[in-house]
Amino acid sequence: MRISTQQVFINNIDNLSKTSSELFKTQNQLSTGKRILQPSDDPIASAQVQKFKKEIARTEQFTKNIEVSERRLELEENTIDQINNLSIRLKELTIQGKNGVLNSSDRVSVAAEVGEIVKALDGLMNTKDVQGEYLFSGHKGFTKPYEMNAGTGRYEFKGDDGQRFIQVGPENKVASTDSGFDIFEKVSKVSGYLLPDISQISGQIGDVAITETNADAFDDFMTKNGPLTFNFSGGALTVTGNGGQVITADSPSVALNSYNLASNPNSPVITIGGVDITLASTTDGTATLDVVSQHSIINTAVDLRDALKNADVTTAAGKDAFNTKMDQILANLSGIEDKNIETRASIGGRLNLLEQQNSVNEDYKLFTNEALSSFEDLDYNEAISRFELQQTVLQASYASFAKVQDLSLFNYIN
Amino acid sequence: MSLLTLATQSLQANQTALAVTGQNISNVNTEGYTRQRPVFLSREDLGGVSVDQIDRVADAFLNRQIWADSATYSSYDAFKDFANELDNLMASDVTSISKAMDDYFGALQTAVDDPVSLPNRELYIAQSDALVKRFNDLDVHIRRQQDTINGKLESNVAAINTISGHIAQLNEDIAIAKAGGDVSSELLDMRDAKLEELSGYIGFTTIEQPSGEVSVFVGNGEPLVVGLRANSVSTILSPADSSQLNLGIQIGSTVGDITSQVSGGKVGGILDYREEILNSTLDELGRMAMVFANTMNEQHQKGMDLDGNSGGLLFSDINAGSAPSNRFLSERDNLARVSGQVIINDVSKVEATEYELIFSSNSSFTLIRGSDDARFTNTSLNNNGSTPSSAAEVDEDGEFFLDSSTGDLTLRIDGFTLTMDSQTILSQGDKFLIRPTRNAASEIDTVINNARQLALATPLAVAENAGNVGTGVVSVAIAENNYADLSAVSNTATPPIASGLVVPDAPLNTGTVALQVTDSTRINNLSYPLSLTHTAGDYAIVDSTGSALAGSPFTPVAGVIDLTAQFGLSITVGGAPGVGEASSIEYDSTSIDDNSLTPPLNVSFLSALEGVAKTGNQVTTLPANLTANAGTSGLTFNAINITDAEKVGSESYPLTFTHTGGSNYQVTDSGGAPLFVTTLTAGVFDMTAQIGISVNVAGAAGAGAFTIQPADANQVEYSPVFTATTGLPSGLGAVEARVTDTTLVNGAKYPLTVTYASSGPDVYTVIDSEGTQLLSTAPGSLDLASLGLVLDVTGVPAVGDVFTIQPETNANGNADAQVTNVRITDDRLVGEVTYPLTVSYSTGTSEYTVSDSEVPANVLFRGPSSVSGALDMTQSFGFAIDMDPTQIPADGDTFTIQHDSTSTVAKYVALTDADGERVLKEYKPGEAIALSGYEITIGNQPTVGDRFTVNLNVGGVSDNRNSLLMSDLQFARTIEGASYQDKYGQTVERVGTQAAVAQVNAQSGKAVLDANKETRASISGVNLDEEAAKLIQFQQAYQASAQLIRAAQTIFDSLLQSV
Repeated sequence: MRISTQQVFINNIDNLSKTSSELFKTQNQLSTGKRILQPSDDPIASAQVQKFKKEIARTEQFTKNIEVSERRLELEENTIDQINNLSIRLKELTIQGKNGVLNSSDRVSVAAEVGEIVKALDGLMNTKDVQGEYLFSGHKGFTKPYEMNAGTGRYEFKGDDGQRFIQVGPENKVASTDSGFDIFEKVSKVSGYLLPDISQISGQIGDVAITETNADAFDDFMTKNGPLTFNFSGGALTVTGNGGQVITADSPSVALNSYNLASNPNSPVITIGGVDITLASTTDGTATLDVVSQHSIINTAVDLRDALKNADVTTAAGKDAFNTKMDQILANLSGIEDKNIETRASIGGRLNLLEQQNSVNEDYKLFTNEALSSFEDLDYNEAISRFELQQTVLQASYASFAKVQDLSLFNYIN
Repeated sequence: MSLLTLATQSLQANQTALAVTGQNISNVNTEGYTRQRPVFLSREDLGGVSVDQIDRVADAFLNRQIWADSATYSSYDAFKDFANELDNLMASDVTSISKAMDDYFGALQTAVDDPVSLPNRELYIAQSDALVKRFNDLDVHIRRQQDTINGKLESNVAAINTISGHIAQLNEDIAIAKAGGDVSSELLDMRDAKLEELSGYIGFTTIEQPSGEVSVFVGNGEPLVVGLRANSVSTILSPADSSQLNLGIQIGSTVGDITSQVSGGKVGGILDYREEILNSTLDELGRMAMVFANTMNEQHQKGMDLDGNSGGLLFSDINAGSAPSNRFLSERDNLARVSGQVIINDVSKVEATEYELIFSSNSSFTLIRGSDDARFTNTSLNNNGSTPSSAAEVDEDGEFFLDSSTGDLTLRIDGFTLTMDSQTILSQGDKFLIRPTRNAASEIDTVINNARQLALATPLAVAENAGNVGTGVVSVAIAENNYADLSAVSNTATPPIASGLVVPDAPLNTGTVALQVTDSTRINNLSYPLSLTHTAGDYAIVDSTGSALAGSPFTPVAGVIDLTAQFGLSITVGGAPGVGEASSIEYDSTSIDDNSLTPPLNVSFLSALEGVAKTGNQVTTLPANLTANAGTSGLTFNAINITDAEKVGSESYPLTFTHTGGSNYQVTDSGGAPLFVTTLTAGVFDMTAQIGISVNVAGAAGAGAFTIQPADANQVEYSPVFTATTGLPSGLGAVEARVTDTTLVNGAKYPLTVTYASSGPDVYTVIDSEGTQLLSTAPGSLDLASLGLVLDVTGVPAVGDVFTIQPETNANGNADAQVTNVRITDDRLVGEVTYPLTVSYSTGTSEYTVSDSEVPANVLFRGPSSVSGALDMTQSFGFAIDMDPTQIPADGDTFTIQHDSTSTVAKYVALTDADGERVLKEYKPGEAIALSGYEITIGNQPTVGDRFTVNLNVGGVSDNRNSLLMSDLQFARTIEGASYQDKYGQTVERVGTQAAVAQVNAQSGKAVLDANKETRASISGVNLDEEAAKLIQFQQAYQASAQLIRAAQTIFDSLLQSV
C-alpha cells in the first residue's frame, strides 16, 4: 500500500496520544485503587455501586439504632430488677404483717416500711431517661406515668400502652420500650381482690357492696358490661353498659331503662350483677361505675400499707377480713413477681435479638462491602501488568518513530 | 520534425513535470491537498511529447464517504461529551440525590430512635433542607447544560453559515474557471476541505452539477447551498419553550424549523442529546422530587407533632403557587389565547414525559405522549362508559370535557388534570405542551422549619383493656391528612345522624308516614317495631312490648310528631288517614352502617364463636330434660346432661340400654332397632358423639337394662291446647274449650272450674284457680270473652257436675308453653350472648325470663311476649323467640335455646364512639375497617368481651409510629414499582448506558473515519520518497532532453564543418 508522508506523522501522533492517555488512566486507577474513576467508565457497575453504598449506609444506621435500643432496654432492665427486689421485700413484709403475734404498733411499724417502699416504687416506676422522657408512660413520654390520687391514696396510671419500635434490620423492628400498662398494670387477677372505681360529680353512687363472695361474679359481669353508666334524670334511672346496652338489674328485677326510682321496693339499693349498690342521691346527672380487678405493685403496696395501718383484729370478723386481705395481697404479689419475671425475660430476649441482629448486620455489611469492592476496586495484579504493557508499547512507539522519521530518500540522493 | 523541436518539447514537458513534483513536495503538509500527477502525451502529428494535463489523484466517492463518517462521528462525540458530564454529575457523591437521601433517611431514623429529642429533629430538618438543595442544584446543573447547548448551537450555526458561504463562493470560482476551460485542482481541494469541515458540524448530502457546482442539502433535503447561493441557518426560539433554541433555515423570506430533521455533526449530536437525555432526565428527576415530596407530605400530614397538632407540609405542595401553570405551555403561533393549569391528582400515575396537545378543529384534538408516542384523541378518550357533561364531572383518568364554543377544556389522564381556559375558540393547528414533572425538581422546597412541628407521632392511640383475655390486637392507621386537626373539630361538632328506621311498605291506608332520625344516639331507647295508630287526629304509638310510649297519643304539630328529645326521631304524618289506620315503624339495623365515628372509640368483640346463627332455624330448641328409668340395671342415675344439643332428638325415644358384657351396653331405640354400643367409663356414659348426651351414674356395670326418655312426652308430639276433664262421672255432659283470641288466653289463672249449679235453672259458674268467678250463665256456649275462650257444653249435665279446664299438661305438670321459632332479626348481634339460653316462664309475674349460661346466669330479657307471641330481643341480641300464642305457659316452663355452630359466618365488632353512636362492623382478622379519616385493623384472636379503646393520642410525645411509617417510605415502591433511590439509580444507569453507547459509537465512528482518511491519504497524499524518485526521474529526462539539443547542435556543427 502506498503511504503518504503526512500519514506517517499523523498516525504516529495519534497512536502516541492514545497510548499515553491509556497509560495515564491506568496510572490514575493505580493511584486511587478504584477501577471505576467516573460512572461513565462502567454505568451498570456504577448503579450497583450506588445501591451497595445505600445498603451500607442503611446497615450502619441499623447499628446505631441497635445501640440506642440496647441502652434503653438496659436501663429498663435495671429498673425492673430493683422493682423486683422491692416486690420480694413486700412479700416478706406481708407475711410478717399477717403474723397474729404482732400487735397493732408492730403492724404500724411494718406499715411504715411499706410506706417507704411505696415512695421508692413511686420513684422507680416514674424513672426518666437522659432525655427527661418517662420510661414507663408509653407514648406519653412527658406525662408522669404514676400519680397518686389524693382521694384514694392509690396510684393511677396516666400513660398509655404505646410501645416504641425501632428498626434494627431490613424487616426487623424491635420494641425499645415497655409501657407501665403492660408490665405493671396487666397483672393476673386475684379472686376477691376487686375494688369499685366510681367517677361522678354529684355523688349518686354510694356504697358498692363488693364482698368476697360476690366479687368474682361481679368481676365477670363487669368484664362483659362495664363500665356502667348511670344516668339519672327526673328520678328515673337508666343504666347502660359498655356497648350502650340497657342493663337489667337483679333487684328490682327490671331493665333499668328510665326506671322510676320511686317504685324501687328496695330503695335506695339496687342490685346489679349480684352486688348491692346504694344510691346516695338521685340528682340528675351521670355517674360511671367500673371495677379495678388488677392491681399494680405500687397499689398493692398502698393497699398493704393501709391494711396494716387500719387492721382491726379485735373482732373475729375483722380478723377474718384482715387475713383475707393479706392473702389477697400475697397472691397478687405472686402474680406481680410472675409478671416481673416475664418482663425481664422479654427484655432479655430482645437484648439477645438485638445482639444477634447486630452480628447479622455486621455480616451483611461485610458481604456488601466485598461486593462493592468487587465492582469498584482495582485488581492490582491486572492493573500493574497492564501498566507495564502500556509503558512498553509507548516506549516502543517512541523508539520506532525516531527511526522511521530518519528514513527519507532525500538523505540518499545527492 | 527536427530533433531540436523534439528536445525543446521534451524539456518543456519535463520542466512542467518537475514543477508538479515541486508543487507536491511543497504541499506535503497542506491539509486537504491532493497530490497531482503530470500526464505526458506523445504528439502524433509532429512527434515529441507534451504534458497533456495535470491529474488530481482524488476519489470522489471516498470523499463523500468521509463526509458522512465525519458527520456521524462528530455527532456521537458531541453526544458523548454531554452524556458523560451528566452521568458523572448524577452519580458523584457530592451531587447525587441518592446519597442525600441516605443522609435524609438516616436523620429520620435518628428521630425515630428518640422522637422527643429536639436536636434529632433539628438534624432531620437540616437534612431535609440539604436534600431539597440537592434536587435544586442538580436541576440547575442539568439546566446549565441546556444553556450550553443553546450557546453551542449559536456558535455552530455561525460556523455553518461561514462554511456554506465559502462553498458557494468556491462554486462560483470553479464555475468561472470551468467556463474558462481549466479548473485548478487547488480550488477543488479547497471546496472538498470546506465540505469536510462542514460535515463536522452537520450531516448533509451533495449533488454535483455539470457546471462543476456542488449543491449541499441538510435535514430532509433542505438546501443549504444551491449553486452560487448559500441559505443561512439560524437559531430560533422553540415555539413553546423559550428556554430552548431550535435550528431554522431561511429559504427566501421564510424561516423553517428543521430541528427535528437534522442529524449528524455536532449540531445533530447535541440536538439528539437534548431530545433523548436532557429533557427526559429533567422529567424523571422532577417526577422523583414530586413523588418524594408528595408521599412524604401525605404521611407527615397524617401524623401529630410534639404539641399535639396535625402534621403540616414537610415540603412544598406540588400543586401550590405557579407550579400548575408552569406545567402548561402554549405555542406562540397559536390563534387561540389560552391559559392552562395542570393539577397533579395522583403522583403514582404521573409519567415522566412531555405531552403535545394538537387541535385539528375547535372540537377535535390529539394528545401525544412523548415517552411512547401513544395518541389519545377526542374520540378514543371518554370511552369508559360515562361521558362527562361538565368540567366538574371529569373525575377519572381518560375523561375530558371540551366546550367547543368557548374553547375551555378539562382533561384528566395519567394522574393529572389539565384545565384550559381559552379566550376564543380553538382552531386547527393550535398546539400546547404539557410537562407535568419538568420543573418539579427546581420547585421542591422545604416548608417546615420548626423542629417541634415534625409530626412523628400518630394522632390516634389504641388502649387495650387490662382485663382482655384474648390475644386480639387492634391497630389504627390514619387515612386522612390533618387527622389530628380534623378530629379536634369533629369532636365538637354535632354527631352525624345514622338512619336506622324504616316504614314498611304498607303505611296508613289513606294516610302517609315519613320518618326521620334526628338524633341517632337516642333511637336505641325504644323497643321496635313500634306501632302507630291513628285515633281521630291523634296518633298512638305503642312499642313492641305493647306499652304505649310516654306521652302517647301524640298530636302532630304541622303534621310532625317530634320525638327528638325522647327517642331521636321525628315522624311526619300526612294524607287523610281514617281512624284506626295503623302503620308500624321498624328498626332496620342493616342500614346503620355509619363510618363517621369520632374517637374515643370503644371497640368490643361480639363473637368469638366460630358460627353465629345467621337465619331461620339455626337456633334450635332442645327437648326438655331427659329422665332415666333404672329398670333392671341396678344403676343409680345422677344426671343426664345434654352435651351437644344439635345431636339430641333425632332418635326415637325412649332408648333402651342393655348390658352386653363388661362395661358395654347396646342402645336400641323405641322400635327396638339397635343404634350403637356405649361403654360406662368412670361412672359416665359419654354419648356426645352419637346422640349428644352424657349420663352420669353410680354403681357398677352389670346385667340388666335401663331406658332413657324425655321427661315431657309433649315435647315430642304436639298436643291440643286445653283438656277438659269431667269432675264427676255423671257422663251426661261434656265441655270443650275453644280459643277465640290467642292474645287473651294467657290472662287467666288456670285451671278453671266449670260447675253446673244445682240452684237456678241450668246455671254454669266458671271460677279460676284463685276462686274468682269469671262467669255465671245459662247453658250453651259459655263465652269467656275477656279470656278469648269459649266453652262449648254438649249434652245435658247433671246437677253438680264439675268440669276442669286447664292448659294441657304433661306427666310432670310442666312445660306447656311452646317455642315455635327462633328468628334471627339482626344477624350481627347474635352471638354476643353466651349460649345456651334458658327461657322460663313464671306465672307469679306473668313474665318470661331469658338468661344466658354464664355462671351465674345473666338475665337478658324479662317481660311478657308481645302481641304476636314473640319475645323480641332484636336490639340487644339480634333475635326474637316466637312463642306459640295458643299455648298457655305454665309456671316454671323452661326452654333452652342453643346456638348453632354449624354455619361459619362473619365476626362482628361493636364500635361505640364518643357520641354514644354504636355501629356493628364485620371484621376479618388483618383487614382494615375504614372509618372516618382512619382505619382500624383487628389481628389475632380477640375473645368476646375483650375491649380496646381508640383514642386521641394526647401527650403522645414519645410515639414514633408515624415517623416509622415515613422511614418505611424509603423502600416503598412509589415510582413505577421502584423506590425513590432505586428509580434514581435506574435513571443514572440509563444516562450512563446511553453515554457508554455513545462513547462506543464515537470510537467506532472514529475508527471508520480514520480508516477512510487513511485510504484517501494513501491515494491522494504526498509521499516525499516518491516525489524524490520522481524528481530524479524528471530531472534525468530533462537532462536527457538537454543532451538531445546538444546532439542536434553537434549534428548541425558536424554538418557545417563537413560543408
